[in-house]
Amino acid sequence: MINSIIAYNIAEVEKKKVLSEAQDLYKSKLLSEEQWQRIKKEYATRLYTPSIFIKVLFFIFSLNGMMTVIVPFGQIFSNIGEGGYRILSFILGMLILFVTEKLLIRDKYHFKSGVTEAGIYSSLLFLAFAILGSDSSNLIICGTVGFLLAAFAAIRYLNLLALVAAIGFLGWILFQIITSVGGIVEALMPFIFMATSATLFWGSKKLQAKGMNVIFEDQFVIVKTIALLFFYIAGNYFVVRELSISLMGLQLSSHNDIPFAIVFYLLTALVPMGYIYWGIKQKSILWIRIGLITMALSVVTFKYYFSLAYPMLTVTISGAILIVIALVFFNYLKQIRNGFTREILLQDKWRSSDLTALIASQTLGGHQMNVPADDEVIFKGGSFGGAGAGGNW
Amino acid sequence: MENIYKELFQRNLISDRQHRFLEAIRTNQIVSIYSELRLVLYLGIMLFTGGVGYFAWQNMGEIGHLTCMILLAAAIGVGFYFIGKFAKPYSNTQVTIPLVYFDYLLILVSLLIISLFAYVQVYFDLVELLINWTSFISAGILLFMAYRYDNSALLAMGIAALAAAVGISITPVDWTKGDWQITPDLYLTSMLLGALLLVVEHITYQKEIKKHFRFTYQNFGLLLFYVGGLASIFDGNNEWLYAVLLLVVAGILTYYTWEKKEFLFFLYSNLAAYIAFTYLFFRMIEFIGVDMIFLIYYFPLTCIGYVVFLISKKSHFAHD
Repeated sequence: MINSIIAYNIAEVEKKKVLSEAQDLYKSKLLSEEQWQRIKKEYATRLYTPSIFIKVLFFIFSLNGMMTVIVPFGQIFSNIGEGGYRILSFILGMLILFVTEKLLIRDKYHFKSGVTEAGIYSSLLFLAFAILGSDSSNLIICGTVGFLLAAFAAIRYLNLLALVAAIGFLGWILFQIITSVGGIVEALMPFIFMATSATLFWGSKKLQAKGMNVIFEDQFVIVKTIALLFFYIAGNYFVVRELSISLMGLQLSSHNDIPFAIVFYLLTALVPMGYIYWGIKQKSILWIRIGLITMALSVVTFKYYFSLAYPMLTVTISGAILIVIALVFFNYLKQIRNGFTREILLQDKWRSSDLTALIASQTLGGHQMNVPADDEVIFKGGSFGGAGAGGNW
Repeated sequence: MENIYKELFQRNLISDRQHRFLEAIRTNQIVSIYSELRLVLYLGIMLFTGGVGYFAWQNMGEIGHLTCMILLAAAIGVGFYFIGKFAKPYSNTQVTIPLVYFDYLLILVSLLIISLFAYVQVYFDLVELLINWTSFISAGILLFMAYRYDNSALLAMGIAALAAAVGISITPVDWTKGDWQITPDLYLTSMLLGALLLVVEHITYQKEIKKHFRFTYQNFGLLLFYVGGLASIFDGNNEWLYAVLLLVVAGILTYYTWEKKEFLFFLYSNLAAYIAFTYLFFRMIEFIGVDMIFLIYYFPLTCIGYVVFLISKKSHFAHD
């Protein structure tokens, strides 16, 4: 049954997955040359996925080509009005979807080749326009259509971006329903979202425990990540406060705070710690990573409301603390302790020193304070102000 | 299939020992926090050096200058002590250092040197004297450290500083909102610097000096060249000339990178060549005076046509 729901041939996708996993192992020097050659032969697949840059190239050109197809067609049938354009858009969407599935996926064995993504996205955009038209004031209907189309792409074409979009639309629908009901339900919104996220997380965990095919591994990581992040965001003080002000028209002066403020302070502080604690206890890297991210968000949240006078001092000191923490762990984990190690276990394709170098040059600077435009302002002011060593320019 | 390692083991493709090790990883008995630790260290360095640099500029009057400079110098000294302890002598080939955070130590020390340098500059009132040279000196420091201790992150930072020195802020991420002055000269400078980097790359590669720096040089060189060229097409004076130049260079490099299978640079070259070609084509249509309505067929036909052509060559970029 699963083979008729998913556009790709499952057996081939499995082979592809084994191959890419084995390639990582081979690059991490965990497989011998001979083993790798044997696996390559045993799991040879007909699926075609080019390297990442060619994928990007395919995607840009195909998307550009497919999206602009509507212009000449629109020119030919120029006097058909909006209804006509919607029908045209529907036909084009179906046509592109058909070409993508029949020609590329079935006949040419394209698997996430960039062209397939462009085909899926452009056809779904055309279909969305066909269904909704240009007048789309009903936000719940928009969300529902978006959800259905995204869920379709996420399941049938195993598309990860569509999966993210589908969950996003689901959250959007829930949000719209809650705000339209209003009253007590609206006041309980943070808790409803937290409960939904928790359900999503445990549901996917249960499903995975039942023994799911390895080809859905990435999907589970994405769903769990989003669920954990949403759970945190729903209880974050900044989010709750700002949404209360803008949605429910809450008037806050400097004396009063949002209702149950203490609950949200606690959630903001404790949820990240809970994540990290649970991650360490269960040895789950996913929980640890999200714990670290949410911890950073919490620090920013608290800094935003309880700012100390010296922001730069805080930055410097927190930088120093982070450096010390990292160094302590680097030394502590020289040996494997409690199952944690500082060494790389498996090499994956995203780890590249060239990439690190590029990111470093974009974020660390070393030249930033000498960017010409800024310099001019600073130094002109300085020279007119007669700035010497103690000058305040 | 629910477990890849089990499947490989059952089909006798991996040994029992390998299987047990991989299962231990899969079931979270051993967890690597390699990337997480590195990220924390990296963030720490970013915040710390950013804070120190800014702090120095902001608080000249309030804290003792000498104290600050001495503290910075002491930190640099300590850093160099550790660098000296672990570093190996200079070599033209890639040098690997067993210390896991050696790269980060180098970056930290280099950035502290630059902070100290900025501090000294202001303290001794050298700002006006050195205004045209600060970025060059920063670039020099970074490039020296990059070559001496073999670090491509410092090389990339050095190149970015060099670009800043000639007036360009390299940010592939958002170059539009960056510091591009409205002078066509700057675009030309960018193209020339890009070309210079490519020449340096070519020569050092031929002479077998730090061959693994190649990617960084090429990446920055091509980006500077193409972005400078494209910007001057849309914003400059002699657009025709630039468009033709860009089309020729990008065309040649498209072919060359295709042959060499350097697909990132193939991607850059393709995009640059396509934009230059499109520009020239539209201008030509306009010049000849053919009905502009035919241009609506241009994008679907060229894009889809090109993709179909590339797919027909797909065996060329079969995944290794």
